[in-house]
Amino acid sequence: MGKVSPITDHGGLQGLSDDDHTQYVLHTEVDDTPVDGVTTDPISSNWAYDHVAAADPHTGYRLESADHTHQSAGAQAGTLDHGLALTGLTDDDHTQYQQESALTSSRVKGLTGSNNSGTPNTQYDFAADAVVLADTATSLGLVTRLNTGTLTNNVSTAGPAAGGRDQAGAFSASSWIHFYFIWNGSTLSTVSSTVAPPTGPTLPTGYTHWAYITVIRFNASSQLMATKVRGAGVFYNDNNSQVLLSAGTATTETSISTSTYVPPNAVTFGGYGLIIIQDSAAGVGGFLAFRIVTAVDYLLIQKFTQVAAVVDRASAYLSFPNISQSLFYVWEGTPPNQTNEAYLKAINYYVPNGDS
Amino acid sequence: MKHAFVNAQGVLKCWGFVETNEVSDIRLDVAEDFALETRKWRWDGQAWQLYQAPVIKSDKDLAIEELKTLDEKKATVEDVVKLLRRAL
Repeated sequence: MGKVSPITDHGGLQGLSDDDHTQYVLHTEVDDTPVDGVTTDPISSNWAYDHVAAADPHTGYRLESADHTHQSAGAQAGTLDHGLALTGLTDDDHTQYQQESALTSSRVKGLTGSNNSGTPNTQYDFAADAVVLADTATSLGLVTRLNTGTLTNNVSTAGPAAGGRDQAGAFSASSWIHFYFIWNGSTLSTVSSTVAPPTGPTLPTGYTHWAYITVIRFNASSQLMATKVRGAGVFYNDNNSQVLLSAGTATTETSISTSTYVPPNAVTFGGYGLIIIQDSAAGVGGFLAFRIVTAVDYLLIQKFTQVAAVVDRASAYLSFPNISQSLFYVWEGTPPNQTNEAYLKAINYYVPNGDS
Repeated sequence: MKHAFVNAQGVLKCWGFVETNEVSDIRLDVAEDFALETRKWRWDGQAWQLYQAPVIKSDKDLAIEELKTLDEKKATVEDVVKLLRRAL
């Protein structure tokens, strides 16, 4: 028998596919199937280290990249309640709408005004520490201007014109003229109008914002009444010119119209009340009631005769709410038998221009 | 509307932005700047006229006036005494 040479090359051995080396892990044991508790058979690198490349192994979660419209039920569900789920609801996020604040916040501060010294009957001077102007036509928001300087409005200037009227025709005598600051993006001016807020004036071309100043009486002679403007108040210069009632003797409730000296949009107005009484006996009382509601006394001026057949007077400064430009007066009880006269004058009024 | 109110004799009693005064008063439409002084003007149906209200004098005042105009040559002592008593 010949000599048989031993196999020294491992690859020449038989049974190489057997699992003779237990120190190794079989390829067949390495897969992508996770088995809980396994310590000797690792998972493939694809599963273990390339997780991001996986299509969507976590079907229990919503992918960040997935669209989430809140519009449907099921996987895309989640409709929100606008008022309950969102913050920032008071932000101005909807620029297609006019801010409510823009409509109500035009105002003046530190306002002063008076008839122009050179042309007092048709021109009026205004100045303010600050003006907040609103654009009520579109949605340009508010504009604030400080220290306006003196701006003069000429009610004889045909308009719509900055510094003049907002209408072509002249203002009617015995009417109320409303004044406004106006703004065109670079220039602050004024305009006068028969129209009160909230409608406001017809703006001259290029002007976009306005702020209400005040209202002045254009009297029967087409003259701006002599007044002083301070804040929301307008004060008549002449105490004797605005007589609402002279020597009234009514013993039944009688309406007094204030429409000539108190504008329709006034909030309140001030008056000076006077009674003159005389009786053939001393100690007789005169009681004059002013009423803002029928049959209910609001203010009372009273005086007793000191001496028989001698005139007595009593007066008072009065403050009234402006209720449809009217109030009532009546002599109550039995007035003094020789003289009982009631007088009332308007001395000022207050308008809603945002100033104090 | 401003109105003036006059009595039956046309004497101005009251005016203002009122529709009524006393029931017996006569109402007139007046201009917005109407401001005549009451009891010193009278409406004659066409225009306002200055009006002087009659002065009602006391017996004392009347006696004094009579004394001032007394005819010294015709007056008796008795007349003078009577007037003096009224004037005191």
